[in-house]
Amino acid sequence: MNTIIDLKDKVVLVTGATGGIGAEICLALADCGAVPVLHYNSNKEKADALLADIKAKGIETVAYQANITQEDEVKAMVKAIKERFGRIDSLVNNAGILVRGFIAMQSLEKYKNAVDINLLGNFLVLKHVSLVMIGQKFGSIVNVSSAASMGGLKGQSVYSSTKGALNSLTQVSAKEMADFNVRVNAIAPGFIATGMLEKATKQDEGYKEVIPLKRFGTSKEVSSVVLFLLSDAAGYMTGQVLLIDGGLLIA
Amino acid sequence: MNTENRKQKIKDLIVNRLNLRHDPQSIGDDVMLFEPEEEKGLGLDSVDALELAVAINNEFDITISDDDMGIFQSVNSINEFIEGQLQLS
Repeated sequence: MNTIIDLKDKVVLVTGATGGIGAEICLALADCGAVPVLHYNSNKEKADALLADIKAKGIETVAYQANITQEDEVKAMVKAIKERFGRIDSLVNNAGILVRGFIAMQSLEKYKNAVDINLLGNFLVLKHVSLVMIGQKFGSIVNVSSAASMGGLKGQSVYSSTKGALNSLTQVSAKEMADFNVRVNAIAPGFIATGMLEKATKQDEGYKEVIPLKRFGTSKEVSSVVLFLLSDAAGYMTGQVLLIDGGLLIA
Repeated sequence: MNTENRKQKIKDLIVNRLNLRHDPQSIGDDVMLFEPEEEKGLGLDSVDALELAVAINNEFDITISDDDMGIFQSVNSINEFIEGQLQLS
């Protein structure tokens, strides 16, 4: 019995739950006895499969579809969760897309789409969940940033800058919400073996050589840090961005 | 909810959410909430304003944006804003 990380019965909204890291976080939460509330954008099939996997672990929960770049949809989702569960203990602001392209060739359309999802979308979820958490005077939030926010990787200008902005948002919201007993932290994963990396380039594969731990990380190695940050074990941590990168950025 | 009941609800929110030692009934409708107590205000600060905004948002299901923060002068000004929002919806 793990008594250091106690998340039993905690209601945790996980956005982008059908992605590789999002799904793993949901399963890890269920293993702790928490109730992961799933958000997804379009992949209902995967959301339903994930609900079934969570149910097999003895946890009944629900999945909500919402386009997080639309404030009315975010508001309606958060309201529905509040009405169903009575509270939102935690948020894992995980939804995001990876856009690649050299600055000189970056299409404006892809740029705007990435900014809308990675920055505006996460901001809107944070905004509406913070209205609930400030009202209830407790909560913990983990924003899923990226190691790309702290080190320059070729072809990731948009991704890096939206994640860098998310780090700043983490610090500002940590200060604004500290008065209400709400902690906000972020994780910054490096190369993690998930669907997002299926399109890994030769250049990415080359990073294995420079990563001090000589391999990509696993989703479990990310979800374990999320569980820690959400729990009271990290009760004196707020406004922090934790790198989970196998040492990539110190290499 | 009529105007008097709504004003009473606002006063209850101010006292209960902000843990004030006042009797809600004792807060005048025109008392300046953010003036210092020495000047017969209630001495609230910006953190109190945020908390009050969230409480009103949750209680009346209306959205208060930062452009609206000027409503936090008195119980009367808050009530006028809420009445305006409820008529819009």
